[in-house]
Amino acid sequence: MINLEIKDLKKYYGLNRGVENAGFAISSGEILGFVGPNGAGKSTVIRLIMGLIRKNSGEIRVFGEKPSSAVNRRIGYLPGEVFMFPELRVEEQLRYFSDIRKCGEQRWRELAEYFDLDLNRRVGELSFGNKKKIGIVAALMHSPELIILDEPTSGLDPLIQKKFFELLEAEKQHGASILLSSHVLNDVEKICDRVCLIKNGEVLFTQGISELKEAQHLKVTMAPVLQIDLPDLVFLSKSQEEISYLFKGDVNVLILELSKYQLTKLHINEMEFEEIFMHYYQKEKSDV
Amino acid sequence: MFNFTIIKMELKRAWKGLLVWTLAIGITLFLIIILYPMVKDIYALIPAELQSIMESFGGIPDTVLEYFATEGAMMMQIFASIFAVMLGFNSITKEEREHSSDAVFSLPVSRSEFFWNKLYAAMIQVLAFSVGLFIFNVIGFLAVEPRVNITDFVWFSLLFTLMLMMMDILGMALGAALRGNVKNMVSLLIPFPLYIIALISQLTNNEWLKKLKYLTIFTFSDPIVLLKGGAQIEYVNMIIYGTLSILALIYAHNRFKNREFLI
Repeated sequence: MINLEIKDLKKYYGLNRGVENAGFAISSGEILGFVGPNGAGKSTVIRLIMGLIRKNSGEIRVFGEKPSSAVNRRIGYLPGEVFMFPELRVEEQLRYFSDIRKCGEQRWRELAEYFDLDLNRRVGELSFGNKKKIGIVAALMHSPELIILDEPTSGLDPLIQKKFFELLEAEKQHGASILLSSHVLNDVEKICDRVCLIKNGEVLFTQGISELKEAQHLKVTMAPVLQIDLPDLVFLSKSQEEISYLFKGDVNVLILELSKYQLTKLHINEMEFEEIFMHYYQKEKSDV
Repeated sequence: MFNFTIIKMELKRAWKGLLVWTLAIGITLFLIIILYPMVKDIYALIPAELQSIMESFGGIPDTVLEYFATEGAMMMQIFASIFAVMLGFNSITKEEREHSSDAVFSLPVSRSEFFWNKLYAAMIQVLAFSVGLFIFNVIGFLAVEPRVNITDFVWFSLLFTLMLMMMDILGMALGAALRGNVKNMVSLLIPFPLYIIALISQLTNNEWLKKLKYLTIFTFSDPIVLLKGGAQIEYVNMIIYGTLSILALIYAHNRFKNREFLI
């Protein structure tokens, strides 16, 4: 069942582009990594889903409905930067959220203990990471069916990150859909089922992590620096001595083409997940 | 439409500020009132030419209530208005200023429900503030004149509270009209010009300029008129501002409902 669907989403801030042609869908029991460089439009898409800003055009369907406060009851949202009421104690802050959501205290108390949160500290006194923990507890306290997380791991130490991922895995097993926005590609590779890449406000592709890895992205590094014209060969980088290309296609075609040249050096390696994305981060929209 | 969780949180977050404002203005007014016996002697020494100027501000007071009308209540009006207008402005804009709008307005509560409950919380604060000032003032009157008749003062206080409620709504409308990151001091643009207009309309002999009193919110709760001349309510002015407040409330609600919370 599709819990979140976005089509041709467009949002402009005056003349400045927020997102253009954004589209993807998430089914229940799935984690979709939403990646892209800073300013790509990830937070804009998320804030449109949450009804915090209004779209110019396109469609957003959450559980088949338009975004609304009623739909938000089924969503757990963690903003990129967690700002709450600084003068309140953590306990008062979380109780406020649970009272509004009418979801009782037991779950958030369990989560606070799981993340080792001091309930008696004032929110304003907490570090960035601890504020993030409150945000996570607030987002998960009502066992939502759709969880939207904007840069959830920034500020969390590795141990808490590990616990957090275990928790997300458990939520996924219970059938929750999770949209995880991040530019930490390791996190995405570790936990997500599919990945959606957005750049300059446009979604470049949405693909399964395993498919992406299996697609045999090869990094071809050679010397001397040669301009090679082959449909599946895309320029990556060059120095004075060597040039690198990304290749995705039939490796026999590549070797046949390269055999026409007098090469002094040739390395062909499988690209790491992170390298694949760095390539897309650096270049303009391209077909995958 | 009542959401007691929101109202309670609004009040919880605001009570310290409310207490400080109430005590600061209340104690100041109390001190002004209990000075009356000493000031009464000074009035007797005022030269005739100065007395004519004082006539514009209600003349030489004969009772502690008249004294309060000229020396305390006008100050109370402007300071209390500042409190009310900033309260209204803050209740609309504070989440954006403290960047908590993502956490708050993504909760399963409609914008409309947030708006109305913020209004209720603000009205409760205005009421508590007015009652606080009323108590400080009455204690002051009783300390100076134990058998003082406070009927006119009760009327004045009711109209004064109504004026503060309207001021709060105007503050909300201004907050809704502006971007959320604008400083709350901007809200002072409402009470100060209106107060100056009120002063001009009181001081002038020009019949046209006197009509400016209809343009200022301070007219229908004018302490000099109500406490010195008896309870003569300026209904026209009250209706003008009542209508304006309702329009401002509708505007603020619609703006807030469709507001984009930018980071």
